[in-house]
Amino acid sequence: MGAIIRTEGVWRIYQQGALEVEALKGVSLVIEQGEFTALVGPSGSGKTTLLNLLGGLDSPDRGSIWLDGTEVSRLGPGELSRFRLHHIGFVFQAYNLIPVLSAYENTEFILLLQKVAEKERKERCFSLLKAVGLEGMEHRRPFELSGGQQQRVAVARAIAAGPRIVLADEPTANLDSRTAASLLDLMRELNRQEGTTFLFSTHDPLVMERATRTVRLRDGEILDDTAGATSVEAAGEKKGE
Amino acid sequence: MTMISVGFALALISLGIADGFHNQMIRNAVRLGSGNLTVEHEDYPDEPSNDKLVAEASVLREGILGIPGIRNVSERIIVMGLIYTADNSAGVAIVGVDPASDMTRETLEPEIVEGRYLKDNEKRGVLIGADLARRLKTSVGGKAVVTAQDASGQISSQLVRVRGIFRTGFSEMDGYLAQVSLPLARALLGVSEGATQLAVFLENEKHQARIKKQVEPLVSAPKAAVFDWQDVMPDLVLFVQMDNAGGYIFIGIIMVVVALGILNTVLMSVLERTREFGLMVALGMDPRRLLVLVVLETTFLSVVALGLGAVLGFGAHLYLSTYGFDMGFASQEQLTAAGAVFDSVLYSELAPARVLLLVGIVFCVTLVVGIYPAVRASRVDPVRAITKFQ
Repeated sequence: MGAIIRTEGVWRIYQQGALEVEALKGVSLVIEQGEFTALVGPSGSGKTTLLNLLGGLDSPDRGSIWLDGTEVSRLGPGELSRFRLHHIGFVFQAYNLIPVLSAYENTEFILLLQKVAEKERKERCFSLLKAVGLEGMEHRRPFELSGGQQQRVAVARAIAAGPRIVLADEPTANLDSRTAASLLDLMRELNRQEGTTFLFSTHDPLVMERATRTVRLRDGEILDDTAGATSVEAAGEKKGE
Repeated sequence: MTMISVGFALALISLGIADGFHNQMIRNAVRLGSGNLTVEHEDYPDEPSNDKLVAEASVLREGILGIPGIRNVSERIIVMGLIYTADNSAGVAIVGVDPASDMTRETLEPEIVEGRYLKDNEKRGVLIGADLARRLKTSVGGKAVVTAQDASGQISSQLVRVRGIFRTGFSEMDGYLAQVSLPLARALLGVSEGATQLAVFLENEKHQARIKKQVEPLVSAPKAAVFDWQDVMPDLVLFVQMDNAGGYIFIGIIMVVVALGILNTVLMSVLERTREFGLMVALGMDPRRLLVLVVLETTFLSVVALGLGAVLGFGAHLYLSTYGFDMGFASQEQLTAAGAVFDSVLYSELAPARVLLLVGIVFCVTLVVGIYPAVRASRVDPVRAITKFQ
């Protein structure tokens, strides 16, 4: 297995009025394929910012990001969309299902974008929804599902197209511990069976105890990393200096 | 959608009433005037005078009558002159007609309030309007003298007797028309043949251009020419154009209101779905597809709204084309404009080409207005869209 995620000296700076906020300061990180990694740290440490950058939802101000061999930090908006479509699955904090679509339709959304044939879509989606424990609820809309059930749909959607990377931003934040544990076990099982790389942004100890690797962030820098990732000193590396 | 439907319906109704009004005026002007086509001396429209005649007019008339689609050809002598009685005198248009076949018989005979219409072999009878009769202080049976410059420029007079008095409500006819027989009018002009005009009336006004091309080769008399009614009644043409311009401004205002309504609706719809759009882009949808999605939604909205508007508009048109819109509240007298009469009841008329143009305009306005929201949707920032609404 090789590196599926690699960042080199990534900076992200936000402008808040007259102030510049350094959300990430020269983060360099390597994640191998098949890892089940947790990014941990207090609020404002840069976890979500890093996840957004890795997912191609945002672009770094400095540094480079490679995903699955492609330097995504150089891609334009259209190219990033296509890359996300075929390589990355997302599980967001607040479920983020499309409210007018059913559980089945939310799950098949990415397969539709990929122009997968209807028969194959049906088989895959029904199979996935069964795997996440939602058999019989395929036609329910999000408002007819509990928080845990909605998050299960989100997981099913994230892995429907068989992505090599799944990025999950605080996926258990709005769930009770029992539901959260069940969901995490499901994702861990997928990780073992499919070899899908999972990267979580989390405060949740339930996630941390299941993760095979923990990367701790604080104030936009990597504090420590059980797999030995490095960080660049902030002093003298600020953008523009 | 309501704004598009109602706006389109209003525009259709406005167009129908306006076109019906114009067509009615034109038909009345053609019917009461010199026909769809007119054969006259080529200089007569610009400089009318009693000596500008079309030679061999009767022969030409027979030839034109043989063309399919011709309803009537009225041979006329028109002389500007005077009529006077013992009590008064007045300037009049003395029009010599063939009472048996002239088109004005259809208009004047039903409007006779005293006496009768001219007989087929009328010798010295004259038909005048009620206003003229009042000014001359005469009545049926009364004697009068008509005087004019003949074709050679000499003053010529003829004695006439009032046979009938009409009232159309159209002051230009009631106060200035004196209708006599063709032979008497020729005698007044001092000619034995020829006519000032041949007024050609068609069965279907839409065939005007085609029939004109068939009439022109028959006109061999020197300096004679075939004119469209538009050439003979330029004031009416100008009036219709000016009124159409006003109508376009009104429709333009409706379109602006409709456009603002569409923009509001589509933009609100896009803004309300910012989170969804952000999510869709985050999941891998190409932003250009979002643009296409919004454009398709706007197109669908436009098509459905136009359909509803068409139902409303055509429904109103159907009613107004059958029962009309009574303008009698504005005036009880015969209404005129640009020398043409129009009835107090206006009927809606819609030409397919004009309706299609309107549909095209509304459709294009909808699409153009929908571009900004579509572009806005395609530029959604997925991170901000998702986190803002979490």
